[in-house]
Amino acid sequence: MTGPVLELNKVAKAYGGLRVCDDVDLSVRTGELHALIGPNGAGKTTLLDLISGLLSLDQGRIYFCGRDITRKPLHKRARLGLARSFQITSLFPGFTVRKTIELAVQAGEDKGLFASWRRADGDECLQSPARRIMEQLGLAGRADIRAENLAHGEQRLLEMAMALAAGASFLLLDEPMAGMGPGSARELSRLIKALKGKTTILLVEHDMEAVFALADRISVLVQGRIIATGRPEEIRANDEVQAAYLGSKCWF
Amino acid sequence: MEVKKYILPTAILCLGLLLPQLLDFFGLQYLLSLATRALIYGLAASSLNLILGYGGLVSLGHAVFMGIGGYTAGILLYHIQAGSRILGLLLPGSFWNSALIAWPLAIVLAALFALVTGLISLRTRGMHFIMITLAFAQMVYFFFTSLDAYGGSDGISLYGRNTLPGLDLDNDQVFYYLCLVILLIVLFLMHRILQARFGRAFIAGRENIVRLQALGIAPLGYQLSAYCLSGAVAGLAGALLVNQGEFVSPDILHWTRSGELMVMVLVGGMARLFGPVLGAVVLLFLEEYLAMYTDHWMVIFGPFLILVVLFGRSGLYGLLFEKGERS
Repeated sequence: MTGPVLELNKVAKAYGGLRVCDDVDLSVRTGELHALIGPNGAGKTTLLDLISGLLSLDQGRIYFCGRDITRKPLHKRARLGLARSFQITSLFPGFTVRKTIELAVQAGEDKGLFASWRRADGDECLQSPARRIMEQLGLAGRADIRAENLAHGEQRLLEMAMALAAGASFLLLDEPMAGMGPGSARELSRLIKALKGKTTILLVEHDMEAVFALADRISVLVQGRIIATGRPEEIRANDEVQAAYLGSKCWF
Repeated sequence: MEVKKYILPTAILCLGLLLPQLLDFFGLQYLLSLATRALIYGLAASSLNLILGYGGLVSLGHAVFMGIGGYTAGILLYHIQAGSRILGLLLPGSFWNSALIAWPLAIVLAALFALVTGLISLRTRGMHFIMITLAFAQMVYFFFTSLDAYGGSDGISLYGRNTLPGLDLDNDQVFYYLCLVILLIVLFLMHRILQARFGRAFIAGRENIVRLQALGIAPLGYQLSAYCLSGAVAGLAGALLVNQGEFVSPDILHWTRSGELMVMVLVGGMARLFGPVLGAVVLLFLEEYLAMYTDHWMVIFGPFLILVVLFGRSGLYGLLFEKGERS
């Protein structure tokens, strides 16, 4: 594989005295599926928020494709190709599935404000990519249901669909399988596997079975620090990682 | 089914087109000016609906744009009729009396005010946005109340309206039709904008602004454009209102006027294209008739408003025209 596409350099973030992110160094290589694991409250979502630009960091630098994006706002990072999904489902409640995905396609086209006089209803440029993604995710039958009326698992899928539709080169997935039934979780796992190699993915996930099956490399975050990074088998054998998890439960 | 859908809108459009003749026929000519004002307020409320209903931007100072548009038309008319210079400099000739000059000027000035205040107020959300729009509106309100050259809080009375080639605007029926046509054109344009990519992104900002940013769309450009457009339309409504009443005073931009516009949107139906027009018609006619019985007509109107908002989240429009459909 080639060099790093995303690089975090001594990234730190504190809420008052609580250091939720403590000198984090992390590099994600082009095309790899990099998993981020750690016990509850380790700061995984905070780290994703810092990378996607939802939160601003106190110290350190973030580089994406060789560019310093430390001070870039959320929407500019998304334009560069960093798309994220949210752990707590974040949708447009009144938009139908179709409209939501079409909006994400529109966002990915990057035509800007003044190209936006074009009619959106019935626009093939938006519809055909949206249709493809709906079929890929098994949402085609639900195209005209409003996001707020979807079942939880479907909302999670729509969350993924938006990240895909924007045509991003880098996906930040925050627990995409959280709260899904085993059936749809397996479905999603298959989908992520199919994306591997084409898209770089940073995955936060609690489902260890999925993580160890999917990831090329894993980083372990404990109390805001990365204590280990390596291939799945290296992580499995790492004493420090085992010690960190022993307090909670034996998970692999 | 398809045909049935068009019966009611066609009937309402015909009623709108034939209203002056019907009023003549029944000897109710005095209602024509009320109907014209309902159209003008419908126009202003529709402009508020664009940002409030579709954009989720709760502005409590929308009447300020009516005020700026209204005073622009009013001050020009005043100087032309008095034959005096504006600020002691410019002597407006009869050329300036044309609606083709005065109204676009009203629109541009209102839009410019929206641009400047929007840039500042759109940095805030929710309650802060409400307060900051109110504050800007009150600043302009007190500016005009202290502007003695133009009557201060008493305002200025005008003698006659702007002129338009080929149309006699002093004729109330002609003026009614002009307002109707302007309203329909503006509603069509709003509909078209909301159907476009612009509308999708703008409405998505109301639904979930952070998610929109995470998709890579910066909401500010969309919101600011809509805010200016909304201000421009309200400015035109102000110019029309001043022409219609041949009078302008700071009352046109008092904050209670902004509140009335908001009530029209709520009663008629938020985020419904024709809702605010319906709201304006209902509010103005109720005011007219209830005020015959009591000065405290708000005592009756208040509970009515509460009931409409409680039972129809999309207002009267939703209650009347969306039976069985989910809002």
